[in-house]
This record gives sequence, C-alpha cells and structure tokens, in this order.
Amino acid sequence: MKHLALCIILTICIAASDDSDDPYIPEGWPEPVYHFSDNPLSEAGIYLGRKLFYDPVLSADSMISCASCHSPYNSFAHTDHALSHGIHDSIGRRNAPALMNLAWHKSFMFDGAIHHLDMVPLAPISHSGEMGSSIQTIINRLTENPTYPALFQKAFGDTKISGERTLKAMSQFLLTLVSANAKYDRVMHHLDTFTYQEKKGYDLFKAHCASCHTEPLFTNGGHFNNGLTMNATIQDKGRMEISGKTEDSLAFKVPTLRNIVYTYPYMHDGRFQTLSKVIQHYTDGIQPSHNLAPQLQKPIRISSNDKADLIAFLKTLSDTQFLFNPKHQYPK
Amino acid sequence: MFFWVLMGLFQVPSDAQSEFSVAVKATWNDQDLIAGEAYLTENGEWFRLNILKFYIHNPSISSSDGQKVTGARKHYLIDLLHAEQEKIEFFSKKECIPDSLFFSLGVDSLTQSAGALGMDLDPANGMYWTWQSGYIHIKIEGTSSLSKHPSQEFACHIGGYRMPFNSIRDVELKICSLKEGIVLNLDLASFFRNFDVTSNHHIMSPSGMSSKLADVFASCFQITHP
Repeated sequence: MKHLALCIILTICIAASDDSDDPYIPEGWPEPVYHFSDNPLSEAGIYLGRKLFYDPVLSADSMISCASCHSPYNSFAHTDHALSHGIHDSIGRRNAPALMNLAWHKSFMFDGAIHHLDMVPLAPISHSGEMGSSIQTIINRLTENPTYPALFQKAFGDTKISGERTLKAMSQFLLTLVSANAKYDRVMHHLDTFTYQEKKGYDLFKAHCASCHTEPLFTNGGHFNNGLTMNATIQDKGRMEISGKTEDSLAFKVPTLRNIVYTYPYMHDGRFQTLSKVIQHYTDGIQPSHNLAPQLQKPIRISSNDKADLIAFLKTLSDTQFLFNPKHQYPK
Repeated sequence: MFFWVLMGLFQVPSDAQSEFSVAVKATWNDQDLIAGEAYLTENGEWFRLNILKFYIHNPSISSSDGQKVTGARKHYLIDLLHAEQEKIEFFSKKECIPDSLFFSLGVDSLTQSAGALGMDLDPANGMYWTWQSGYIHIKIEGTSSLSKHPSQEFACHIGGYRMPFNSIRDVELKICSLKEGIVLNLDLASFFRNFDVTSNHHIMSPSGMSSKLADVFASCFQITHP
C-alpha cells in the first residue's frame, strides 16, 4: 500500500514537472550568448518551430519556406546557389549562411544587422525578394490554419498566436541545431586521430586562419574586411550599410567553417565555388584597403601541398551526425 | 472648496490610496486630430495623417512632497489615430498630489536587446524594423501638399537606440494640481512647423535627421486639462 502511494506520488510529480529541455552545451565550449531563461526549450516549442521552419505559409505566395534557402542536408545553407532566390524567382543580394550553433552568436546576417536570434526571421519574412510577407499576415494565416492553434496551445499554454510566440518557437528549433561532433571534435576529445595530412593542415590552420575562424566555433563572430573587391553589380558595402562607419566598409561577418564542404559557394555573395579558390584568394587575391583586417596585413605564403593539407583539415569539420539528423529535417 | 476639487481630481479610498489616469490625445493646434482629415498650416498647405504611433517607457508622476508613482506598465505603445482612448494609469499606495509627469520616448536599450517580447512590444504591432534590429520609436505617416513624393506621401519612422543616432528622449511636464483631469496632449501642427517634408518625405532609418526629429517630437507634448 505504501509502495502504491509512493508510485502515485512520483507519477504525479513527474507529470506535473515542466517538460523543458536543457540546452545542449558541448564540453569545453564557451557559455552561450542566448538567454535560455527568456525562452526555455520544450519539446512542444521545438516541434512548433520546426514545423514553421519548413512551412511555406510564411511567404506571400506560399511557395518559399525557411528551408527553401536553408537546406537541412547542406548544413542549412543554400548549396550551389551564390545568391538565394525568393518568391516570384527574385534574386537576393547575398548568399544564405549556414545555420548552426546560433546560441553562441552575438549578431546575425553578413552585415550584423540583427542582434538577437529571435528577431532574425523578421528580415527574410518581410524582404520583398525573399518571402515578401509580414509577421502580421503570418499570424492571421496561422490563426486560420486548422493545425497551428493546437500546436501553440501545447507550446505556450493557450491558442493565442502572437509575433512573440511565433518568433520564440522558431528560435527554439534553431537553437537545437548544434554541430559539435565532427572528426575534429572527436580528435580534440582524444576519441580519434588526424591523419598525417590532416594534422599538417590543422597546424597551417592555426597559423594562418584561426585568428578569425577561432575554435571551437570556427568564427570569432566579428566583422572584417577580408580583402574582397566590391561586387560592382550588387554594390554591397557590408557592415557599413548598417553602422554608417567607413571603417566598416566591405566588412562582413566571419562565417563558421564547420561543415564547410557542404556549404559552397563561399563568401557573402557566393563568388568562390571551391575551397581552393577561397585559399587562393587569401594567398594571392587580397585587395589592399584602409580597413583591411589586421589579421590579413601580412601576406599568407603557403605551398600547393600546404593548400591540399589545409583542405584535408577543413574536411574534418564535417559533422554527418548533424547533417543527417532526422530531428532537424521536415517534420512528419 | 480646495479639498473638494482635490477629491474630484482622483479617487481616495479609505485606506488613502491614489489612482489616476493620464489621457493621451493628439491635436492640430487646438483641433482634435482625426485620421484622414485635412488640416492646414499657416501657409495654407494641407496635411492628412493616417498613422500616428509611438512608444513611451518608464512613465512616472511625482508630487510636490517628493513622492514618485510609476505607471501601471513599463512600456506603452500609444496609437493616437486608431485606438479608442489611450491612457497611462498610475496607482499609489499613499495619497498623492501630482506635480510633474515624466516619461521617456521610445524603447530603452536593455529592452531592445531582450529578444522577442509580447503585448505592446510584440513585433506584430508593426513597430519593429525587420531589416535591422530595433524598435521604431515614433511612426507618423500620411499625405501632404508639401510632399514631393508622386502620391504626396510622407513617412517618418524614427528609431535608433545606439550612438550616434539615439532617438530616445526624456520628457518632463508640469501638472497643475488644482485642475481636474490630466491630459497629455501632442500637437502635430507644432511638429510639422519644424519638419521640412518637402526635403525629406521618407525618414526610414536612424540618422542625424531622425535624431533631430525626436527632439522636435518631444517638444510637442504639453499637459492640458479637459
């Protein structure tokens, strides 16, 4: 009888306890920037965000979803597309960045225009060349949709659909996109070893690339002029378009190099199709400028063998567990 | 007589609490401002307003004996053309004779960095820039004979919470405690006397001009009594 009473009490306690999930913080990583206490993760919240991510109802013509430009099999980048295309086949100005490890980012977009993950979806939602809609339109559509009110109820306690809840649900899903199990990570945890070539590549990486593409995120999150010429057609001035400061001219956010093999083409306008071309830019193509990144002031002199080794190392940043995780894909 | 005027000014329950509300309204000089109606400047030019919304934060009322009562909410989105009657409410545990009204125009920088928020701060209110982070502090849209835009439109979206283009402004206004009712009045005629629509029919990002207009907007408030 006593056992039965205990079981009942335990069951009630478990049922009554909140179902919030602890965010995954890989061992040895810095503290996330995102305040999880403002938006605690829950299974229902993550599922709602994931459903929204894959739903083209977010776009004016109901043809474009977030996944249209952020494909799960390509580390949530728009592989093989230099510039992304949105509704009515409009071509955008920039390459869609890969999405992963977003809890550690202080700013978003190549020009750092957005400074909080929650607010990021507003930009592509409202852009006339991307989804061409508005958060108000989306709320109306979701409210009239037969499925969503119940999902909002599960995630937030009642069927009210607001801008705040829509954005927070999307953040919850995006925050689960953590990539930290590449061969590189297993080597760092002494669970695997680099090949001779990969090790050489890693040493070269540390000497020439790590000052901006800092481990373990493989980005320092900053905005730098990395010596690219301005695209004459697009006339994209980078961070200067947001800050108005000349020292931000042609400064773009340092992207992560994780899963880099899957996220070509490279740079803010996708101008380089291959990693070889990227490395060639850094060794032979840097344009001098008044605000060139200090890390690139000294020329990078490496041999062709070195370049091959560097690429071999970059391949060790591929995390197939992340890339093919069914929990990140289209919800069934 | 004085005592009864005071009693009429606010409710004073037996445990000596005070509650009062400050109604917020817009006028063109001394005419009530109505959406879509035409109003004339001294030079015979016309303006029609379609949108007039702004944020305030940290409203408080202080009394001559040094008491300070904060508003019922920290942030208010005030819509002066399409909401029924906007008001800011204050509740005090003690008897309080209002002497001054304080508030800050816009959304404070800490709140701006806090991610998606709800109610008056929900981005679905149409007062959040989608292309870069930040709330639109003041949104004024309409048409005018002075606008050179093809459809005579103008739109002022005044925002910015970081230097050098911070448009958050503090406003302090005296209240005459002998009069009944407190109205926070915004005079748009005064705003447009100091804003050259002909040279700038669209202000859509933080800039030197938007910061200047924030100063102008802040100066257009006054306390009146019904």
